[in-house]
Amino acid sequence: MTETIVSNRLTPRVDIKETPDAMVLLLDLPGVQADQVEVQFERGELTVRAARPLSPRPGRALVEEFDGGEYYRAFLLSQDVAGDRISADLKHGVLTVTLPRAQQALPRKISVTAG
Amino acid sequence: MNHHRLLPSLWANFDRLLDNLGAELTRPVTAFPPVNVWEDADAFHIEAELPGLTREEVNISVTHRNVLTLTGERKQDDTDQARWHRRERGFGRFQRVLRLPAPIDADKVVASLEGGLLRLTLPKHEEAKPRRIAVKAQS
Repeated sequence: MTETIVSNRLTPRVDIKETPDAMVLLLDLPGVQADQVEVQFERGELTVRAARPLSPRPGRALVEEFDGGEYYRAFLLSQDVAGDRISADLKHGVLTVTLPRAQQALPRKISVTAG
Repeated sequence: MNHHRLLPSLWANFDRLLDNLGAELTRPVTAFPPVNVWEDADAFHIEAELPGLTREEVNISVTHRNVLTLTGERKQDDTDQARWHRRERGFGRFQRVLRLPAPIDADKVVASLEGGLLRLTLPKHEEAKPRRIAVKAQS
């Protein structure tokens, strides 16, 4: 049985924007392959995990400013997210997660009747 | 105490520190892009984290035979009708200057940018490579 040892935890930087019909998360995941990214949504919580391997660096280290490990970040979202329509796309090392708003959460115009 | 004597020696040290690539370590971690630099006998190797950038958006130049400069711009997402809840990723122009401890062969620098990770191989100039001296045995 092989077991993955949880290595150094890295917190990716995030931008979160809200558009009229969705919440969009942008996470910096440089050096990560798409098949190494795991996006999960459960009970209103979105988690993003991604393995970040470090290149072998034979020789002598001169500057070390970033490390490998596992990117991890979790977000609590409101109940208004359509969990079955969440999409995620990794491009140039940036993961974009789009969380569409559930239909019932979209603003609805209520007509007022005159009594 | 002889301050006049102390001062010049401090400056001498300071200059040496600036010359030394190790001084980069004392920079605040907010320097963008963050880099890893290492060397072997033939070359310097640099990796820089540049998420969201494409090859066309990063400029790489070598001056004075050992100074590498990375410049570019992280574009701002200005989607209409968006309300920002968090903005940690940052945007705008950046410049990072790295002084290598030995001259490189600027014509042979190899660069690739994939998945937001810039990889550079900078071969050392012939004069900077370690030379193996054969020791003759007296028979």
